[in-house]
Amino acid sequence: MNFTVCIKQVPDVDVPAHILNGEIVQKTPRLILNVYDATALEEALVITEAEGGEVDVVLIGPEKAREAIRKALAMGADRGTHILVEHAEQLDAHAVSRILAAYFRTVPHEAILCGKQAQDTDSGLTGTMLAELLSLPYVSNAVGIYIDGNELVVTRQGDTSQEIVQLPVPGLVACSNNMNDPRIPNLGSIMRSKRKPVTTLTLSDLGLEGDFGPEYTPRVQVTSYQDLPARPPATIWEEETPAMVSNLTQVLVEDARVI
Amino acid sequence: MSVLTVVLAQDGDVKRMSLETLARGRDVAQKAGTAHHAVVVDADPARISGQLAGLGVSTLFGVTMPAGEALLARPFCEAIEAAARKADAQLVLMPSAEATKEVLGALAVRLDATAVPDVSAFEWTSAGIEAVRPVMTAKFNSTIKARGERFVVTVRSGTVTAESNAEGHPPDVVHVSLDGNDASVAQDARLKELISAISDTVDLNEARVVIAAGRGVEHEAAKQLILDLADVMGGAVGASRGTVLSGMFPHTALVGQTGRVVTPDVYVAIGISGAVQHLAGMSGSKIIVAINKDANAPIFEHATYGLVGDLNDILPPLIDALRRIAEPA
Ligand SMILES: Cc1cc2nc3c(=O)[nH]c(=O)nc-3n(C[C@H](O)[C@H](O)[C@H](O)COP(=O)(O)OP(=O)(O)OC[C@H]3O[C@@H](n4cnc5c(N)ncnc54)[C@H](O)[C@@H]3O)c2cc1C
Ligand SMILES: Nc1ncnc2c1ncn2[C@@H]1O[C@H](COP(=O)(O)O)[C@@H](O)[C@H]1O
Repeated sequence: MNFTVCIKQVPDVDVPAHILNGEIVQKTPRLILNVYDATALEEALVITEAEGGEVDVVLIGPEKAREAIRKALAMGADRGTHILVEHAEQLDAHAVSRILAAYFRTVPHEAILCGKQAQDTDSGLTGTMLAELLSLPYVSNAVGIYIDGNELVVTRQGDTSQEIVQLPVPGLVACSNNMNDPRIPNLGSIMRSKRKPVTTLTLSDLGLEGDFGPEYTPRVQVTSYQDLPARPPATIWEEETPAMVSNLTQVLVEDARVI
Repeated sequence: MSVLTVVLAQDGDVKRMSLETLARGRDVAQKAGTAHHAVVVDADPARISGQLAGLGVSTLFGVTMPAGEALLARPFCEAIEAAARKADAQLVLMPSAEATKEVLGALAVRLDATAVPDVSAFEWTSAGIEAVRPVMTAKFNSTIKARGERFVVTVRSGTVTAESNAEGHPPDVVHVSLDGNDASVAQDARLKELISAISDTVDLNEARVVIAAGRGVEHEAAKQLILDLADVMGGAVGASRGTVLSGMFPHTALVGQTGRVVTPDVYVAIGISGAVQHLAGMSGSKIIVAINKDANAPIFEHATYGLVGDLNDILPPLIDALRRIAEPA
């Protein structure tokens, strides 16, 4: 079975950041492959290594985001498609899913994988929007995938249960990261990946320049960023165990009233 | 024109997060001067109606569906869509949960609505929606503006006060049947098997108290201390990614960006370092108690009360002390 993984380049949230005049500032910004997308890719690689098939990746982003495609190729993807959009930061899930849908209408596809959510937008919309636009069956929050004949079997993490779902292809799976640990490419695979093909497309190649060009006003637009609401100051005890236990017991009983 | 709130129920009991969302839906509809309706997808929708008394719901649209089927994206999405069309809803509100995340994007496409996920606060005016929602793995908040004719908004739990069983009439139930000939998808997903979580423990999202175990909980004896503390405090058990991957606790217990967002009155983080991805799931809790042997663990910066010490030393006397109070001899 062939897989296409939708990948995004995002700021690394583990790099310290703060708010300045309503904007998020990172002193030493670092861009990475969205972790959920790396997991989706890892899963596609593991499955195709065992069962055959090829793995494509597709990314919408500026020139700089090509690094994320290179990372994916170094991990083992066969080919990349870069839908070059310099103003990609302006695109919301509504736009991204429609651009991806236009792309998938031009290429054959079997299993499409997305991440559960982008680590910068925290939105988790693109996968299910894309599936709906392409009228594909889908499952999201996947924690396991395997192939059964010409279908996928997907384990989905629900609120109070896990569901094992039989998914025909073409179909789409949005992946949780509780599925595998993405591999770290070694030097050999990085070198070999440099010969792998990357196709560049523009919005006009997909007939979408008029809809999602630089003039596009996102349906959802951030007007400012803020710190989370401040929490009450912490009381930290670093004492003998009996004293700490008695302090906490008192708090739980008298303030929190949970006993 | 109306506001439609999606009600989630478990075995016939409306979930707390749904009561919260209903309270929000009522207020928003009142302010906009429109009707407030609700929809429930349940094996027996009529059993839900009584629990919605006093929440300002005019009509409860009921879609009858066995629980197993409602877990699949397509039927669940179609059911909400059908009710939204019947109600002529301009605003569909849902509690933010895995069940609703599964359909939010698809529903927005079907209704040609603008999707706004995971808001902690929002206003709905003729200009659209203005809302506050997390970004960057919930490290920060963003204020957003959404435009469109229709909106689907999911509301983070714990950001509104739940009100239930107030005085008032229960809403009338209007049954909505799906025409069953939605042919948009040639071949759909099918449920093969359902693995239920252990049902004798408290549901994480409903719980007032969550006792969460991290990698510092290293062995069975320590795990037992977690379970004992949860038992004496009447709490649900949560877990960090480390203890879920090791198999010590089930996936359903995972709290955080990949796991669930919980907002209990008291969250006790035991042997948890406080990584951003974990904080994303619990930093909205009212009181956070951290127990960690490393005084520099980041969790202490987010705690209300912190105990620096070994959990294996602290938990036994704590459980004893609480037991003595809970069950005086
Ligand atoms: C995309 C992504 C999503 C993620 N989603 C989640 C998520 O949803 N939920 C989640 O939890 N994580 C998530 N993670 C993982 C997260 O980054 C951390 O790795 C994880 O939360 C660490 O778990 P921990 O605090 O239990 O372990 P550690 O970071 O190893 O911390 C263990 C702590 O226990 C303390 N300790 C050890 N022994 C004792 C003792 N005897 N007594 C007291 N204290 C002790 C130590 O001092 C330490 O602070 C995600 C990561 C990524 C990249
Ligand atoms: N710019 C992009 N290019 C390709 N795929 C994307 C892009 N943005 C989002 N995706 C995919 O959609 C998923 C969910 O993103 P989001 O809806 O923004 O949370 C990501 O994990 C990716 O798989």
